[in-house]
Amino acid sequence: MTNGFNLTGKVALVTGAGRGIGKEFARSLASAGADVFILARDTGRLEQTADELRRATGRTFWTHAINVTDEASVEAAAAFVQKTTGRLDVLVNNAALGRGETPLENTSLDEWNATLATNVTGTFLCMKHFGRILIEQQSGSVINLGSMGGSSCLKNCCTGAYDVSKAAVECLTRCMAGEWGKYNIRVNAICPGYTLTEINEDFLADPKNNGFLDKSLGHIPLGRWAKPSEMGDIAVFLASEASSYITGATIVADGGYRIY
Amino acid sequence: MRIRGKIAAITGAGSGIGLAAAGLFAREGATALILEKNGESAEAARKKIVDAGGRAESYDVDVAEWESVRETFDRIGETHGGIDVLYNNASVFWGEKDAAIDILDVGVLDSILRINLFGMMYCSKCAIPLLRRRGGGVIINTASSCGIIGIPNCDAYSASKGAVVTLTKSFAVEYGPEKIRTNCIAPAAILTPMVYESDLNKPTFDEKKFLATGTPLRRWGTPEDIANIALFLASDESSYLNGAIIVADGGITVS
Repeated sequence: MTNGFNLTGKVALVTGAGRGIGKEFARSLASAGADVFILARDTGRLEQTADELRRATGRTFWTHAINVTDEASVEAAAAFVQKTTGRLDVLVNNAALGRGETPLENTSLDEWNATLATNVTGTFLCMKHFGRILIEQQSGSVINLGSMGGSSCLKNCCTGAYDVSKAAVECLTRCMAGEWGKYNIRVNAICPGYTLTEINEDFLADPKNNGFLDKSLGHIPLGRWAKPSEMGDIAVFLASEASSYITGATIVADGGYRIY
Repeated sequence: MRIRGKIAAITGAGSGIGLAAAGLFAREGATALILEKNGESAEAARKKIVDAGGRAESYDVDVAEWESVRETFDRIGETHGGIDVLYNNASVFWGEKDAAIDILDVGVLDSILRINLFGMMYCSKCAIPLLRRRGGGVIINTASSCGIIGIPNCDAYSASKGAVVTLTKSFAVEYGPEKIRTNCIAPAAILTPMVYESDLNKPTFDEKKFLATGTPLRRWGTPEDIANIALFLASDESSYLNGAIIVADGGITVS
């Protein structure tokens, strides 16, 4: 049997990796042995993150700017990968705009379009350009980021754009799993539930969100929010041979929220 | 080692996916309790694991018989106090006898539901108190693509697997607060002795066509493919998964 969960010798790429879940994905993949491209719009923070992760994991990290809504920027990042390693085994499409708090009836068209541009079009562009590397080498694992909001109505429903975008990402995941199986490329999605990222820690600490945490716990059978590292472990599973027959799947990691 | 020191009960562990999982769990540090109707294959599985330096025990049990299941888990409770993992793997797919509902023999329907559904419920019923004794744990259920999409001519099997998907969600909600996580694997096209007998033996089955057009990854899955997923679900690496249905079919259900 293969050593299922080991990523030694693999090259991974994570978008939106400057902080939050993206940074944890990069950390977990590197801890499992991968060398990792970390990409984000804000390259200042990216260098800091790379330094921190190099020290923590001892792996190689490369940084590059990316605006996933801009095709030329995505192409430039893909060219950087080609030039640097000439291969890519794991693509984590994590870059996303978060859930807005504006009710739909007050949401501007710009706000709606911005969310779809980053979360849906961004995933498309990254799959297109980084995917060409995977197709060329006839192997790879693509991990897209959905959300439990993509398949359920959260109790604090608002804009809808975020949830719609994540449903679209799940759909794209299924379509491309069917298409790219013949290239030996697996395409799957992780749908996280409430996770204690830095952004969410700030959200919970804001006095105007008093009571949000306690209320949410009533909807989660496991009775707690996820740690970011728990999402990282799932990425390692999907990146590795341990999930070698899984493609087109959506792994909902929400402690049971969605079904309750 | 991902599950060192854990006690893992695996039903149907004498062959196929269950056998692969028992071996993998033992290599990852667990004691594999091999629950199997076929005593000879259970003993062979146990011996192989122990000879390789792992820990395993075999238990003769017919999951379709309540008394057999109850007595087995009583013994496990007496020996180990509790367990950490229940992997409900035992099930049957009778390609020849299972059928569309209008021509399905009711005796066959009864037998398949007894093994695939009642068996899973009996084992879970007995295992939950043992999981509680260890302060929580993991239940891994086995559905199938038949529990996700419509597949013709195996209605008893589909009914049993659909129920397994539903019960996974109920258990997740019922026992999540007690730190018992319940998740489900939905495999398809895994090359096991069961699939050899039911599909590959049929003269009408066109393997080449099936792999070329029915399966995006263009290959059969292996028992090890599924055993690795079970290991993931048994370990802390899946610690926020509860009520999840993991489809592992090389892309069949989405294509």
